[in-house]
Amino acid sequence: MTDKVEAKPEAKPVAKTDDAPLPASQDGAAASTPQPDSATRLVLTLMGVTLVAGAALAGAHVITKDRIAVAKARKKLTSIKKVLPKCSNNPVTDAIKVGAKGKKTEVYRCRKNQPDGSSPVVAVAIGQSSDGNKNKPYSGVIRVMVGIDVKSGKIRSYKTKTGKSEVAVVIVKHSETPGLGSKAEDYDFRKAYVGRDLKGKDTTSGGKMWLTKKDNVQLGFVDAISGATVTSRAVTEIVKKALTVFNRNKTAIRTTVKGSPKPATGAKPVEPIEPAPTKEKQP
Amino acid sequence: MSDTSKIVSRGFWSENPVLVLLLGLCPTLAVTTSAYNGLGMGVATLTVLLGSNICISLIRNIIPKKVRIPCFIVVIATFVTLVDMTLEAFVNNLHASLGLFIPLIVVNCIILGRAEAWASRNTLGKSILDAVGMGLGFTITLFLLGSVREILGNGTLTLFQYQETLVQFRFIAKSTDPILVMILPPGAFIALGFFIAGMNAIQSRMKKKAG
Repeated sequence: MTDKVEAKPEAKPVAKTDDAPLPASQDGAAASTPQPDSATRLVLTLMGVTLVAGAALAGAHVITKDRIAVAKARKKLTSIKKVLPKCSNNPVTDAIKVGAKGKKTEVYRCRKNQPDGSSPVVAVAIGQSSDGNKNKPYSGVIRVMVGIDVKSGKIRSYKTKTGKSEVAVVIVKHSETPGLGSKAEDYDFRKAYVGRDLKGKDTTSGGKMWLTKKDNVQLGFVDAISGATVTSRAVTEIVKKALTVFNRNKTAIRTTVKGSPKPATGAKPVEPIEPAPTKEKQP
Repeated sequence: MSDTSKIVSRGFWSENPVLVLLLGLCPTLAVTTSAYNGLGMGVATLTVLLGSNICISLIRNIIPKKVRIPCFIVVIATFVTLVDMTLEAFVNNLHASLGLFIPLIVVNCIILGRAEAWASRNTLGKSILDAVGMGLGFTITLFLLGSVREILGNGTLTLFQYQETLVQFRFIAKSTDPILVMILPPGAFIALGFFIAGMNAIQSRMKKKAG
């Protein structure tokens, strides 16, 4: 008697799983249509499936291709816009390529029309990645867009519409650990770069080095993110690289006429830029 | 009717792909760092699952048994690539944060599992129901897992994010440090462990009541 009673609760779960589970759910549909498994048939079926799949993908590629290109361009444009002030020209079309062959960097130039009709370059946006860095990121690649004031050679800082302080250093892409390395996106970290030039000077301190405070307590000016020193070092090196590109190509950036709305020759004499110290010492 | 609801509801509870079948754990653990990521991954997987179940159910009678797995994989890979391209074109930032895990949907066991165990043996209607149930079960689980991890690990709950639009709630003040480990890989295992334990606890309690 007791056996029967005990058997009942056990039977229930079995019945429950029976109507749902993986293997028992044949309709008999597959079994009712036996296939001749000849080799030709196998090959033809597989080929047919792949052909249809290929055609579907080709179609989708044609449809999405332009949208993907637009999305990528918009992403780039947003980061460029973020690091530049209001320009009289389109910085993307007024870009020049500088640097050695194979390692060309695009410099996006922002011009401002002056009352006298000239239109000097006032700021540039330079994108750099961690490729070739001595200080590698924690994972993947970091891309940073840096906005530099042409007159002073310093990294731009500004106030947003909502009155927040911002610095023209934008992390465009990274795959750092969320919550640790990803804090490099926060202003709290990036504010270290406010007003720095290649020598590390800003408005308040003398010459400092492009190092984290962890690497050099006296001279480093970058407050590394706790738990993400590697990321802090990598970003710092990238920002420095962008400034180096600017300093090496100062003249080209200011004078090259390409796609510029006004001839730069006219703008040249009125440019209020003192002959920059070309022999930049690497700190 | 009861048959319909049974097929659909299975995915949510009794055969929940993540918590009961323990399938597709790689994306589950990897992308649930925020609620929005979990939701995005879930919807992407749901779309692929729906597409592949429909296709495989339709062609189930013309595919010879010997080449069925390669055929299934081709179908699944096609849908994954379609989803990948669509996301990149229209929801670029989600595509960026899900990154590598979109192409990896191809090898998500749930999809091939459902193709082999259900879609290749059942009618179109039943296969659609199955895909919806399993897909939604997967999505909801990932969303909940992502929510818990994001709230504990980052103090926020992100529901939507596109270009400048951001729907986000903050639960822990910015000045206090959240439990960072929850959005790191170990946090995924910890959270999932609690989810499965909770699920088992509820189920055994329900069984006790029923018995």
